[in-house]
Amino acid sequence: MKDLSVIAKFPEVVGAVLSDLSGALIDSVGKVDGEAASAVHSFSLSSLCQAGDLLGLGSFQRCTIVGPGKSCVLTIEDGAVLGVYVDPSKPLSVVEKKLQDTLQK
Amino acid sequence: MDKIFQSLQELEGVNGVLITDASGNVLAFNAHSMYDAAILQQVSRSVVNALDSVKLVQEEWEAVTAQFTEGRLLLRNLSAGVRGKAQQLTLCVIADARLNPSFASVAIRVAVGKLRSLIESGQPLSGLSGNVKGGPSGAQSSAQLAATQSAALPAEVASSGLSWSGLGNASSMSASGVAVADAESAAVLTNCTKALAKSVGPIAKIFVKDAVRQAFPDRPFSKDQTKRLLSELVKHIDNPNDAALFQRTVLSAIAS
Repeated sequence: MKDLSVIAKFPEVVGAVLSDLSGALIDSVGKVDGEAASAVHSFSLSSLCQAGDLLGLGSFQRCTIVGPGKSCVLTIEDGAVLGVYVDPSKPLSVVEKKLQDTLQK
Repeated sequence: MDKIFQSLQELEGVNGVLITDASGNVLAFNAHSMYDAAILQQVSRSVVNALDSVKLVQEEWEAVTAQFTEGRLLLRNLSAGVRGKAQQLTLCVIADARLNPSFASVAIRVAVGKLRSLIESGQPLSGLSGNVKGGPSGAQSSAQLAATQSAALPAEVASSGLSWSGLGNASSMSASGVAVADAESAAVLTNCTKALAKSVGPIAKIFVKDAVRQAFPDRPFSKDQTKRLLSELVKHIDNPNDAALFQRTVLSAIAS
């Protein structure tokens, strides 16, 4: 897993949270309540993966959550859940692409 | 309502559309027959669990898109922006890898707008029914869904998301026409479906059901007929290496 500070430097990103699959906080940066977010991220992904498994959609890749106040990208990387919070006025797809490129390096 | 669902179903790659309430009950659905009512009900509960969790940090969520290697699950909050006190409803669109995200985005926005208008007009969505495309009985109501949901599924099959009927009752045939002799035989079908899905995608379950119906029309499928079933299923895999891998995967899973 890349250092969170690398992701936090993206101009669109307002915060990031790294947690393990059980929801325990590993690291967080920016304006996010890391403790609360880490548990929510892991539980949400677990439920979505269950739905994907039921539907035969294959392995989970990433999830985006969009709202008027904030947007978030969740992904699983090296056995850890990464949640990246994005300024909702910025295009989420750009952050998704940057995130993908960064994680693949 | 049917027209709204139909417009979404017409998008290439969309295999199912459903509306779920805050308790995880499916209020209406329209899906390909590979997704039966019991599976959609389980999916609905998982989706609501995920959204309940999301709301803890993002109360006013509007859209959630989960991307998987072989498809997407697109969720939209039908209650957001609705005037007055509205029931918490979620639109779920199930799609495979063929989905064009841009086209889907537009079509879903249109559908959400129409559904919100229905909600604002006070039309009870729970009274509307959907249907399984290509399914055996056409329209399915919420009551039928509840009945299906209450039928006990064997743990190992239910947890895999795949269901086969007739377990422990050799004389019975399911609504989909697939019966199995026992739990081990059901597990074989589940293994076949999962292994085949790696080559052909979610349609694997339909291929398995069709193969069982055609190869064993007058008796429940049993584990000792696996090789015959495999010989039918490999016809759906073009690549010989993938076909060999498929057979090895299933046989090793059965042996273990």
